[in-house]
Amino acid sequence: MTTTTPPSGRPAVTAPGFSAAEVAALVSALEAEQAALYAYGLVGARGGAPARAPATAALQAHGLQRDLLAARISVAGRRPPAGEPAYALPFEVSSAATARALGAHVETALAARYADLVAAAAPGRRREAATWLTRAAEAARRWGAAPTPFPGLPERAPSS
Amino acid sequence: MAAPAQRHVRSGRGPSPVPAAARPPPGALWQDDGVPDPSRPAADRLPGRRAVIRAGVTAGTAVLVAGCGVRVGSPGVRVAPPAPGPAELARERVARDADALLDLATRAARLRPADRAVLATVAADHREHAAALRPPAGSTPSATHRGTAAVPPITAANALAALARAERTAAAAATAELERVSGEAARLLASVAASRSLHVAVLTARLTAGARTAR
Repeated sequence: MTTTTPPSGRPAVTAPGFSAAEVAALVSALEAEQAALYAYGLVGARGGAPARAPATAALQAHGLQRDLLAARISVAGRRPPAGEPAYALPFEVSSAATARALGAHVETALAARYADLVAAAAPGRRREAATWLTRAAEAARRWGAAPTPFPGLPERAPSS
Repeated sequence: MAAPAQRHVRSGRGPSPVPAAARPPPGALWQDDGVPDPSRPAADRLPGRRAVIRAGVTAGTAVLVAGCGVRVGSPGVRVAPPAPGPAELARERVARDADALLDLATRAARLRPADRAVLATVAADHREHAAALRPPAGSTPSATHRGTAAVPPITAANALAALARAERTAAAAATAELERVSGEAARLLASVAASRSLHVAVLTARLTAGARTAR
C-alpha cells in the first residue's frame, strides 16, 4: 500500500497494487471517455442516417466503459471525477463528414490514453488496457481516422 | 583442445534451426525478470496458438544469444554486449514476428496485384514495427536477423486469409509479452499488437469484398 500526498495536502491512500501513475492514467482515460460520450451524442445527432446506428452503439459501449473505469478508480482509493456538462469541440460539427471526423478524433484520443495506461498499469493489468487500446484504434479507423503504424502513440504518428 | 577459434558463428544459415539443448528451459525466462506472472496458466492453456511462430522465434532467440555471446572477436564489434535479459528477448520475439509478417505480406503482394496497395501498407507497418522494437545498436537488423521464421507457403487464393491468420496470432503473441517488459516498452508492444489487429480487420474486409464480387 502506498501513500501519496496530492497537491491539496490531503493524503490519498491507494489500494494495493495501484501506483499513483496508474490511478492518474485511469482518471485520464475516464475523462476521455466522458468527453467521448458527449461527442457521440453530437455524432448521432448530426452525422445523418449512416452514423446513427454506430453512434448509438458507441454511446452504449462507452457508457459501460466509463462506469468500469469509475469503479476501478474507486477500488484504487480515489474518487472518480464527475464529467463536465459540455466539452469544447476540436472543430465545428455541422455535417455528416465532420461528425465522422469527430468520432475518429475521440477514438484516436482514447487510444492514446489507453496506450498510456498500458505503460502505467501494473503488469497484470496491461493486457486489459491493451485490449481497450485496440478497441479504440479499430473504432477510430471505422470512423475514417488516418492509418498509422503505431495506434495510440501520437509521437510516432506519420506527419500529417 | 576445444579449438574455439574455428567456431562456426553464422548459425543462422544452418538447416536445423536450433538444437533443443541450446534452448533455455521455458521457466528460465520467467524467473529472471522478478515480475510476478499471473498470465502463465493462461499461456499454458493455449499450447498450439503460438506454435507456428514460436518455432521461428526460438531459432531467432538462439541466434540472438549466440550473436551476443560468441562474436567477441568479430571485426567492427568493439565489445560483446551483455547477454540480453528477458525484456530484450521479448522485444526480439515480437520483432521477429514483424520480420515474418513483412515477408508474408511482401509475398502476398506479389501473388495478388489487385491487393498490392493494401498489402504494401501492411508491409510498411511491419517494417516500422521491427525498426522500433530493435535497439538502435543493432541497426542492421535485416542482415543479421533475417526473418526466417515459420512463414507458411501461400498461393494467390489463400494469401489474404493466411496473412490475416498470421496477423491475429502475432497480435496475441505481442500481447502475451506485455508483462515481461518495462511499462514504456509495453506501451510500444501494445501499439504493435493493436496495429496487427487492425491489419486483421483490413484483410478480412478485403476478403469479404473479394468474395462478394464473384470471381
